[in-house]
Amino acid sequence: MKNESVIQLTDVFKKYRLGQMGYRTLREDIIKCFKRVEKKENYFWALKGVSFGLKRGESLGVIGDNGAGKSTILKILAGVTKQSSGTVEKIGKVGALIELTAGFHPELTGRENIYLYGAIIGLKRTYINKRFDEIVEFSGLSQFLDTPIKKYSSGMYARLGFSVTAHLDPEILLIDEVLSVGDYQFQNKCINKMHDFKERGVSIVFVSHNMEAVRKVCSRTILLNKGAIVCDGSPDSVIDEYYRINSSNMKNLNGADKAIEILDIRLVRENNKEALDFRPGDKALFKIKLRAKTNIENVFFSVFIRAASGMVIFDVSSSRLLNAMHSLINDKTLEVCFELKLNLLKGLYKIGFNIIGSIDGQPSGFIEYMNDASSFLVKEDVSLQGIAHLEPRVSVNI
Amino acid sequence: MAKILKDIKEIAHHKEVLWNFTLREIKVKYKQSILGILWAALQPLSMMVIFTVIFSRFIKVPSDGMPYPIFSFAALLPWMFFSNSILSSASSIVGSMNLLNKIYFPREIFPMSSILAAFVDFCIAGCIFFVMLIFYKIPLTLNILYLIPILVLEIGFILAISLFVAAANVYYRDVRYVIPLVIQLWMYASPVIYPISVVPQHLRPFYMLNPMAFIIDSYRKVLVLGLAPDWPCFAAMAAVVLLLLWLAYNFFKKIEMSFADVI
Repeated sequence: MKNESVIQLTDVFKKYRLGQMGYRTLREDIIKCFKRVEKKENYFWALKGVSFGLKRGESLGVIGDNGAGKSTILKILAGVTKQSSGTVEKIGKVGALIELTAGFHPELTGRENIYLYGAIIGLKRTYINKRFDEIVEFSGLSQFLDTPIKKYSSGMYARLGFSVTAHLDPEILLIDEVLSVGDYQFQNKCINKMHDFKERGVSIVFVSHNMEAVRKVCSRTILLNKGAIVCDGSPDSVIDEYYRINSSNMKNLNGADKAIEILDIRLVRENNKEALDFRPGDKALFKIKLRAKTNIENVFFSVFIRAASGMVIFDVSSSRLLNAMHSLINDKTLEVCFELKLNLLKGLYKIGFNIIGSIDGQPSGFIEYMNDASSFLVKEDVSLQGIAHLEPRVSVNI
Repeated sequence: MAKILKDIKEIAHHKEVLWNFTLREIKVKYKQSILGILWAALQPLSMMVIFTVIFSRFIKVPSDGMPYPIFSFAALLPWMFFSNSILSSASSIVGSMNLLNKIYFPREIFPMSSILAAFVDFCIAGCIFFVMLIFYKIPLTLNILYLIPILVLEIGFILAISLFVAAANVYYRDVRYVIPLVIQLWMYASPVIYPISVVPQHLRPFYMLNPMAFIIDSYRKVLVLGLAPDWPCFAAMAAVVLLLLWLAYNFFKKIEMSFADVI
């Protein structure tokens, strides 16, 4: 039972007509008919022979660039569109966490929309009746229940939609980028809910650009590139591969095999002594020495720190701090040094380092991506909870 | 046949969506309007008043011995049901593309909910008609039950046309502009403002090819005159409607899966 496949895609292809992706007008077709235009159609293959299986209770992350075919896979699984060739097998009830606003009608009240949205995602009216109070309480919108939702803020929209969705009872759950809406607290709520679904044995297919969310939710991840699966494995390894491919694309762009060579990475204290463990509030200098092997203009550097859970707790770049871009000059060495005050609680942390190219001030791609450039330990005697060290003091006066 | 049964089961399985879409359409239509649902009655009423003024006062159009207001309202009932259904079905699928792209339920539900919403308007207008019958002292007989098969026939015909235009509009947006025009022409080709008896005898066979001509005429016969419909003609129309339904349904099902790609 546990190892049973609930989804099996075998050699799935999907093509779209290019240029005429949308609807046609009768006029065009009639003209075409008269002109006897040769039937040369331009096709775009959104999926090129995709095969994968999903076992019961497994949660699969699907990542990749825009246009890599992620949404197409989801559409095929949802039954919204059909593959051009290949087979798709699904066992069990498929539920979809759709874009939360797609099912709403702005003129209707919150109450009416709960029923409408519930019906669309497949909840029975009697079931909603039974759970109505629960849904309302979860959303925290009881005061606004009889207000047309066009008066709601976008956050309220999302909360209402999500509280209905949370009562879905599918065997396979499809999730498309819902985490891109809503605030931090809401995103966390979503992730917790996904964990709930997972614990109930629901199989999940999660399409996202949010790598942290994929890391948190998924037990397995596939990477799509131009309609084909290029990598399938644990989220960590696949995400690393994704960044590596991204950065190598960048290198190819510059016509060199490797744009830079890392000469040295050091994590030191203020006295320039190398260190591995720190105390909360200590200063640390992250120094990296590298040699450019090609000329690239307008690059910037960034470091990020990840907690043991994988969550990025800090992320900063040279462009933000200096408000300037740098250039890599062929065969010149370069040292980048980030100074950080480690107001962190005890634990193991990893430092990542990126070199990012930019066009017109917008990041255009990774030139170098190091998920795990260095790591350090924070030691402390008192046990504190959370992620940041706020240097607490307490006094109690009577 | 087995496939059709399976599809009907699928629709029954999603009846909650159908129900909610219908409710949504009705609610949204009449929300924030002062007269609300009364508009459903006002639309045919105002048409009737204008028709009566023009076609029985200014131009003397025969009405087969019925009072003209009753004569025209008995036709406007089925006609408005037909035209409102087709008009809102046509844009029902295209207007829901964000749903179409994200989640599956039988696509027939979109035009079907448009028809159901129009049916509610039809029922309200029907109530007005009964008040008018009482006002004109036209007796109601048990023959009114003959309306049931006629109504079923009409709904079948509406469904066939709706499925066809809703699907066609996804591919050719021209459909949206063509339909109001076609509906208007169609009204003149149907006995809404005049009786069938004014159509020259030699043109009758062609004239009666239009199912709406038979349906409207039957409404008058059953509701106003208290007569039974012309059964042989009914049987022939039923066969035509079944054939149309089968064609429209197959057409719809054939291209249903590519809606999300094209839209």
